[in-house]
Amino acid sequence: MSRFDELLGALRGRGDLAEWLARGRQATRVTATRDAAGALTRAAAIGEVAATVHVDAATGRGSATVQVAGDRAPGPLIDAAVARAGAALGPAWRSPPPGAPARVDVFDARLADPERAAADALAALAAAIERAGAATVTASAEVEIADHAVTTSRGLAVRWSETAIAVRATIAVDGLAATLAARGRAAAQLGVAARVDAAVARARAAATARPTPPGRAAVVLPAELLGGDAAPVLGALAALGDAALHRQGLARAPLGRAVVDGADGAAQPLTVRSDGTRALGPESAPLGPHGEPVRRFTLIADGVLVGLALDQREAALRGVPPNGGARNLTLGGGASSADELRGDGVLELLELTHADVEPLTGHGALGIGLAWLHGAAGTPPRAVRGGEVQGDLVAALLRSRRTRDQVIDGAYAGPALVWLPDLAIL
Amino acid sequence: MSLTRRELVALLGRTAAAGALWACGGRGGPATAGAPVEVELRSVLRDAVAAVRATWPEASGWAGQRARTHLLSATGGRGTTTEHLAVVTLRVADARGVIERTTHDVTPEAIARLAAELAAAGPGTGRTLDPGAPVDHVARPAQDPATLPAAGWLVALDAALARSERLGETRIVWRAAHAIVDDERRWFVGDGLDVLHRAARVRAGITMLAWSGNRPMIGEVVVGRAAGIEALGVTDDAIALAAGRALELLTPGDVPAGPSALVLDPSVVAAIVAAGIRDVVTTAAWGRPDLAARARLGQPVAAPAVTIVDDATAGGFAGHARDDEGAPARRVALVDGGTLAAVLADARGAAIAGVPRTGHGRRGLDDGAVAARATDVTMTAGAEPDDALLAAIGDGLVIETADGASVDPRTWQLVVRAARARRVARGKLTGHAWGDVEVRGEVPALLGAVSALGATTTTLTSLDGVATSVTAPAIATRGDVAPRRSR
Repeated sequence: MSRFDELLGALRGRGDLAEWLARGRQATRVTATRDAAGALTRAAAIGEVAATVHVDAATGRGSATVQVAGDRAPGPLIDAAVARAGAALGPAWRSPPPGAPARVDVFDARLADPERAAADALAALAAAIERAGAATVTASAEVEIADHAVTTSRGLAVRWSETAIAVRATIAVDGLAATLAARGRAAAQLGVAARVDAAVARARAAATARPTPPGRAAVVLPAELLGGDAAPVLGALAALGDAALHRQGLARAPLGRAVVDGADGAAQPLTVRSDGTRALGPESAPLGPHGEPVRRFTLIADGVLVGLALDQREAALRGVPPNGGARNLTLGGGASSADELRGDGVLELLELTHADVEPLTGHGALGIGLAWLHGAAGTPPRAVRGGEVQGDLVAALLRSRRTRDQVIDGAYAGPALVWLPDLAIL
Repeated sequence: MSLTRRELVALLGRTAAAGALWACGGRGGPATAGAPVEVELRSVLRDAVAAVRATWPEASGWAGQRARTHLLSATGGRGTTTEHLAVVTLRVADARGVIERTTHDVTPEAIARLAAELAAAGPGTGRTLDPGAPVDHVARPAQDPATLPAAGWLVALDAALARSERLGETRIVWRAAHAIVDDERRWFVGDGLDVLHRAARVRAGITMLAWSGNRPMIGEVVVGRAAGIEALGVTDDAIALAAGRALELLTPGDVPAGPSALVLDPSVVAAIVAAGIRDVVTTAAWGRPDLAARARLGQPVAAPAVTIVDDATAGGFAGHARDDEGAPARRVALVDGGTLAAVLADARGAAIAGVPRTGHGRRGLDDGAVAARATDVTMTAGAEPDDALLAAIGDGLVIETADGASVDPRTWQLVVRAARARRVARGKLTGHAWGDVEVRGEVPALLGAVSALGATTTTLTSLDGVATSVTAPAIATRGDVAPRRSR
């Protein structure tokens, strides 16, 4: 009997639980690395079995989660979890009847043999680096294949498999280095050759980079950063729809109102959607962590906050269906061309040294690892580095201009370039 | 004013108290705990390595096991949660390269299965494993977390919370005494080596939250020690310091930006040492050809008074006798009299970088992967009392209470985030104090401008990934100051 089945048996025999959820994940993660010392292959077997128990009392509901590991029987662990749940009572709520899991493709059959897939991805990465005329400092490919199982006391029993792949490299060109990273659920999503070319270009640009001039400027964020190091900026957007913050009166903007003054009348009003059902999206899944079905929803429509991220508990407290939370944020396209956004004095970020964004307020600092400082039309941009972009990044996104196209980079989907007005450069 | 748990976590941000709140549950969300591992890993590991060694020219095994208990005694609730984690990694190598297999299923059957799979794939050029006699390096704290019931551990924190409440300030809306207790074991088995290292570590502290107008003010003091339950106490001085930080009234507006003479408190110096030296001068970072630090090895990167060492043998927070690759630990001077002197190295990194192996191959308990990681890093203290540091800069700013730092490896440009800047005029504090500031500069410039080092040091500890610590004094130097996350 598997540990997951043992856990189910222990949970089903109890009468002191109002509700419960059991989840299991069995994964194999293979990492293939190549560097000056040669080849290194790591394979890790990861097994996770956990239960969340809910207990009801006159004053509300308490919840606790327990992981089942080692060779211990699950019964005593559930006893301890019940005790902890009883000491952690919050508002009363009850799970709605189980909804149908999202029908979403999160499995790439070409990664079914993770050891071979990791070796193939690493070989492709190394070949792309060689083709670009660069040297490999270190390169790695990681492939994971995982089987999930979720069963609840309300009759939900779902199993699915998913794959994930990521590549990382540090390359060298003429004594200069640059890093690259990409992730997805299928090798074809990674765009390795283009990323290697971009990394080579950044390494060469860094050789001539000068200090970033301070002042105020419009800043362009490319999709490569929004899907990577600048993801905390999107995290601040997601926090706008945090249902718990709304329930507690802590949200920045109320539902049905413009997120910031003038956002609904902006030149290119922003629409943001959560799409946890995007095929092969890194954050896509049939179910959320509490067994709630994942659904697409609109977070912001033309600058107005219209949707909340609802897990099982927050949805139940409101008496509405859950949606599994904010996933794979999609920014609506704008009406600008890339050339229009790359105007005189605009700073186009290429690499970040850090992203320090406060989710509740949207205020943040982005460390400028490398950027293009654009000049007048017809003049080439100058490479700059150092300093920070600071300001209210959420307000800037709501007042942004964007290219018309839609690209996908990791969890991000949206315009290739996002232009943020009037930020401080320090 | 009452606060929900989620509000608290949001306001407390990256503080130690926020971690304790999440770990210990409370209103609003599920708490998580795991089951202890009751397998005798040493004998299982020896058997597994022996099986693999029979067919591979190189073979070794490593196992890690940890019980981590979070404790919280706070306004509105108290609790404890214990998480258990165990991992085994088998490593083999031949001319084709290195293979590692890791599992979190540490039952004897699973480990034996893993070993059998690896053994079957071996080239057949192995021999009988002879690990020699087992060697134990076992910490035996005065009050051992392995033998004392966790139910009684909260007493010391309850007492600290009660003492903090006697301060009686109505502006303090939330207080918490909190701690993490780690009981960790690591085994390494290879040719000629069978080593166990057991460590007990405690990080205990107090956090207070007050409102200053509509702005939350957080005061927190956390002390980490390689010790047992006896280290759970929080001193009256720490409580008073945390309360003072939470209740301080700040000067309106942003800190004056620009270059300035600075006194950096030990936490800010520790953040500079951690991000600018400890995390850069390792073989994990050394591969970049444009790493600014690489070109400076053997050259001055700090004032001659500055010496920074990593010493796992000094009995500090993260100390050990051997690293997770079986190499003996040793004291390494990273910056010696101002000169960049050495690179922290694991076995693979040393081979790539062409530097000596230093016994810093450390594996994370989450994934079992090895990398060159520091242990206990110390910047040697000077002889100056705090007043003398203020006098040394004359006019400038004191920067206090670091909240992290970032470094650009190409330029060695560093940004340190801190909670306070205080104005100094003619060698005295003026009473002006601003919140949320940054200090910027190239690491060699910040350390090269050091004109005085304080006599007293503070040790900052971390249990993220692997245990580490940085001990540093206050320094007088020069750097650029700017507001953090300005509008």
